[in-house]
Amino acid sequence: MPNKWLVISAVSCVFACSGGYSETVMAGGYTQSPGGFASPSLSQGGEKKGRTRASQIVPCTVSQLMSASQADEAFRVGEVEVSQVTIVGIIRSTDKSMTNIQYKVDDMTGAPMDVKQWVDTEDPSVDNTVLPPGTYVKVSGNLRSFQNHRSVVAFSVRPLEDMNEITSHMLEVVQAHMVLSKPQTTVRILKHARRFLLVLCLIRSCPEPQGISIQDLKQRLSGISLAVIKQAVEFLSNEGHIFSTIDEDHYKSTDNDD
Amino acid sequence: MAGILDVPKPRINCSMLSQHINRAVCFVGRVEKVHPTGKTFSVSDGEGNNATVELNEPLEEELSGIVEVIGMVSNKGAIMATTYDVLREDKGTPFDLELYNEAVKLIHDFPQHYPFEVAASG
Repeated sequence: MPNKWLVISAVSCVFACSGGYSETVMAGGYTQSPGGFASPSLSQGGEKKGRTRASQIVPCTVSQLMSASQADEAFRVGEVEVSQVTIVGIIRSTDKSMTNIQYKVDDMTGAPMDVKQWVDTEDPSVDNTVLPPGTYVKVSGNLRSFQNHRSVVAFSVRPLEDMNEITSHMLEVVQAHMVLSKPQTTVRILKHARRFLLVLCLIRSCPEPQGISIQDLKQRLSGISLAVIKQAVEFLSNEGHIFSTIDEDHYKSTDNDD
Repeated sequence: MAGILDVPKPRINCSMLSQHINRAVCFVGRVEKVHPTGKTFSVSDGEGNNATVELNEPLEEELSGIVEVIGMVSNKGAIMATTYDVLREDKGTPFDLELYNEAVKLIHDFPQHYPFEVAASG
């Protein structure tokens, strides 16, 4: 899996350099929170059942937009908060009124999505030409829900000139959602690391010659499940930090003399 | 036609045809040979494998280059096309079918980040 990750990143970089790339990467990539993965602010977010705020435009599929959960004005795709989004798809139908143009855009992930673009009646320089069905477009806009009906209110509907943008959007979607949901995985790993350290500290501080039992550990660490304690003991034992004494349930630290 | 356009149409390559029998798919490939009747043609994917596309109506014009076909996969692994679009390459950059194939494999490796279904929203 790490190799695939490199492939996505490398390919995305190639696209960025070749100039045929999207605004999303130009804007500097995706950020989770200041300070990166290991920052205390991130682990704080983790305690609070963290969400990842997308401060930039997030490339999405129509299926993700339609499945996104909604709390007040905020939408979430999995753990990723989305508001400004891009989708790439083909126009299936159009409808124009005095004030807006409505498209149905199909990106193959489900039924075509409603995209609404306001017509600027004041500004003659703004192109209000309706793009015909069969045109591949990149839509940038805000996800909206009105009376249970989802749509994208677009500030840009741009016809694709380079069809490789279809490919790059697919890659960007996977990359963005992978990157933006990563902190939760990292937070989980950090939580485990802290718990493993707690277990090790307790084992090290035990003065008894036969060491401390798993049952004792469970009693002392009431907030940690038995399964995690056993995981910790197995890991620490494999790494050589502890060893079993009178039986498989009792452990002593190998570093007691420090 | 409206029916098939309103369902998910997973992007696939030839190696995935057998897993999508009787399902709607989206197949992007290069037009290889067009049958004289114009009712069927072969397409190649980014791995160089070929698939057969069958049409309801014969082609009215010469077809070449990269096409995106939407249709159902038959029991024999052919694509019964409902609609197709030519991906234009006249604006400069040729379509990189091999890279597209990599992207297809990627989205199938990470369905949680590129779903071809609409889950019930929370």
